[in-house]
Amino acid sequence: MRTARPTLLPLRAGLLRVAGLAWLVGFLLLLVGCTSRPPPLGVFCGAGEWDIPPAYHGNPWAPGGVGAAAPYVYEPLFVHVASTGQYLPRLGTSFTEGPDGRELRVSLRPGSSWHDGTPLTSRDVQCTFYLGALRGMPVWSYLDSVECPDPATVLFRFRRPSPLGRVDALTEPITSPVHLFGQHLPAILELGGAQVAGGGGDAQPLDPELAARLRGVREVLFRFQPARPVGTGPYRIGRVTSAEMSLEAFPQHPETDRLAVRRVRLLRWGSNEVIWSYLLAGQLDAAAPACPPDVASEILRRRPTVRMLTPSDLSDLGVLLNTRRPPFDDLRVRQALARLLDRDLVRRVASPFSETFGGLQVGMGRQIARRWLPAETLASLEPYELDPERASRELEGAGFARDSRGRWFGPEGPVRLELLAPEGQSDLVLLAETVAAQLEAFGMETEIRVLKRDLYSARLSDGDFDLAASFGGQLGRYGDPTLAMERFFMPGGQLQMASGLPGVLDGLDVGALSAGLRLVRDPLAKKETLGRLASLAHQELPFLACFEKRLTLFLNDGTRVQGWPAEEDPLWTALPAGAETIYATMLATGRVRPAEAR
Amino acid sequence: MSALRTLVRNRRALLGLLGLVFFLLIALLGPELLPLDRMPDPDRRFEPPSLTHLLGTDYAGRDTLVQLVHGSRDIIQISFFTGFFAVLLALAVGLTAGLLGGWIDGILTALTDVFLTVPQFPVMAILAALMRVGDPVTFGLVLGLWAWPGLARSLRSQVRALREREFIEAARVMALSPVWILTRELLPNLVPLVGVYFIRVARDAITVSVGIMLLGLVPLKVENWGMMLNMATFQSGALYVPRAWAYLLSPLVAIVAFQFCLIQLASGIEELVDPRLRRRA
Repeated sequence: MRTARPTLLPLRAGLLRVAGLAWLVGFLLLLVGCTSRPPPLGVFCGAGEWDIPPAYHGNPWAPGGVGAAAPYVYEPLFVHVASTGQYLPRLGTSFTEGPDGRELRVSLRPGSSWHDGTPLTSRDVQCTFYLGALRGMPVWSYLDSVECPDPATVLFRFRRPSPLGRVDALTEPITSPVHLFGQHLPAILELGGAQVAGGGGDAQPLDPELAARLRGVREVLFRFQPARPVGTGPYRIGRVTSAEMSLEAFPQHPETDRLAVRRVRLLRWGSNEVIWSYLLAGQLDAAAPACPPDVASEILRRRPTVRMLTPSDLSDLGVLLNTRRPPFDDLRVRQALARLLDRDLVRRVASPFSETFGGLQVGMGRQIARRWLPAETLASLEPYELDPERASRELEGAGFARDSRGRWFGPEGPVRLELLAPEGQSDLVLLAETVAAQLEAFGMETEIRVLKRDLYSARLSDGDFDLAASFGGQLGRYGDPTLAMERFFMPGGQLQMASGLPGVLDGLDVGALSAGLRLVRDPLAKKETLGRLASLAHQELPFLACFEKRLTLFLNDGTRVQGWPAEEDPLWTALPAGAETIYATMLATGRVRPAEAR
Repeated sequence: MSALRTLVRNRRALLGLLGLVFFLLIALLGPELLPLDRMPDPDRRFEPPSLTHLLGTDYAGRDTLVQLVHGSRDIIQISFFTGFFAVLLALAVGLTAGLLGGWIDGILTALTDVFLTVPQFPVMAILAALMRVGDPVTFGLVLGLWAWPGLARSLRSQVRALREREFIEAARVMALSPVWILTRELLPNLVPLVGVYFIRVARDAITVSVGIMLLGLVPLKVENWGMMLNMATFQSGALYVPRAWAYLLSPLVAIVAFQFCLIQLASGIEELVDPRLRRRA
């Protein structure tokens, strides 16, 4: 009879099981330790980008710089509300403008100081603008000098008075205390800001020796990299890690009593998908990522305290046409395209929350057009309505015909189009896809190429394309269609270069007219010039707008903070200037406050 | 014929082969049976599977199954041509270097090293600025340009090892021509390596092709399986929409199934030609 030999195997298996279980428990504990707890009541949670420590630094002028914390750490003199033309006081309390617009005098808020305790004076404002000249700050296209009549007053003197220049001067964040950055000032003051910035067209080319000196100044400026930024804003930075930034209220801020939310937590943006996940998890209080409708519905369904606003981006998206080469060198083909594309279908696929552009291709949305263009101009233009049959007739009139398979061919053979779209811009990629599908269905072979942004821009400026999904008129933080007309007509303007539209149209020097538009201060004269240019945009069709872009802004009202204003609030129209600036303004003015405990 | 019989007897190889035949049939016949309509219908976006749309619809309301069927032709062509060109280049470089040796070997090895070290995507970005690729053959050639060096190196080593073996020596002593030695003695010994590598390159081509499309070197096709997956995950947010599961999973499952078949076939071929593996199996 054989007896079983004693073996250690069961014992070893038991030990293995215990070890495995211990490993699993340890791993789970580690996982729990890694998960971040949601911030407590009263902490505002936003998102943004910044350089990962140890690269992170507090010099706003050096590459990298302050990152997403900037709107909370620094303040501008005023916040400009584009829709009303109103200026909300921040570091400035009031301003007066000379009758010819050449002088702008700003009074500073009393009691303001930098985060290191040094009082703020007008010299700090001056220092900011002159250092900005080193980085080509756009306001120097108009500015002559920034002076300090007294410590509480700043005087801007303009060479070329312009309503846009005024917005630039009043809304620039003040970032550079003279006690930290003042050593660079004398060299720039000696040359003059406009000369250093190379702005305004009348600036003389720099002497090589002076240019070398300025390069030296720039290098020294960039090498200065304090660990944290020093601002005057309501918050100062506490901790910066690769994943999040935490900011604490600045107790010496003159309006610190109004600041109900005492802590801000910023999470790294990464990509839109990351932000969707944060919103689904209820980790953010405000964010404006590009968001498909179904994802938005899912966020709103899962987070009842989140609501979504869709303020205008003051920009429109559509198709840019290359007027240099066939078939779009023929105006009749461009007009046919305007009638064959279902632009509302494009909107519904690419950006359903946006607003349909309508038939008037005047370089700006309907509401903006009504405000800025003469009524008689708008009434005189024939809208491009969806009418594929008329489009076919127009194409036939231009010498095009269809073969037996319904494919269009023209004098130079079959119509084969290439439609460019920039990578990473999902609304433009989807727009391109929908346009291409419609052109294919209409009988025009169309290929989409998604290109890296640099390559996309290069192909556009070289005129090496047929069609491109692109932004059209962009009114930006000014809310002024001057920018849109510059993009369309000004020599060197982005769309002008790409579309190849000539500088003289209908005997009118549109290049000069659009270039001078910024300096027109008389509202009536401006309206008339805008009307003439907008009519030509409609008539010449270098760009076919599909929709006026609306942002998708998610606000979590009642979880940690509350008090976000309704969509009708004009402050949201300042959103194209930077959503974070608006959040910071709402926090600083006490409109957004800690949520009540449930 | 006996090789095919042995291949069919191998269960893994048979599974892979049948799967590939299935995909091939879909690619050949599917587009004729299910016409592609790229026109969006936003009211039907992310519809779950139904009798009208067996695999539901995408973010623009288009039928997912139809896109998969039309994408299969693209995928198979790209995979095949990438593998073909990679193998062709690798054979040319590897065999020449291995057989001739000397300074030619030095130059070809250096060339192989260059291609191994130069990162693919920056070069593709430059190529995108210079040329436009439209057809699957050129697309396969462009992808194959970066896929050959690994095989070329292995082939060179194999050839150098085989060159010293007795049967090659015997062939030389018998004054057989170099072409005879190459085609009758060397190549049959390299077939397994080449076959497995061909399948591996073909498998990777699906993933790489999406990157290349997003670089603009080739036109964007939404029915390409890789691009479908990319659109589902990044552009349209299907990953976050529960009812979009069918649209999200369809290209994923198709890619996994296609690659699984390729891997099974590769493993089968390996077992077939490697006696040690065959014994283990």
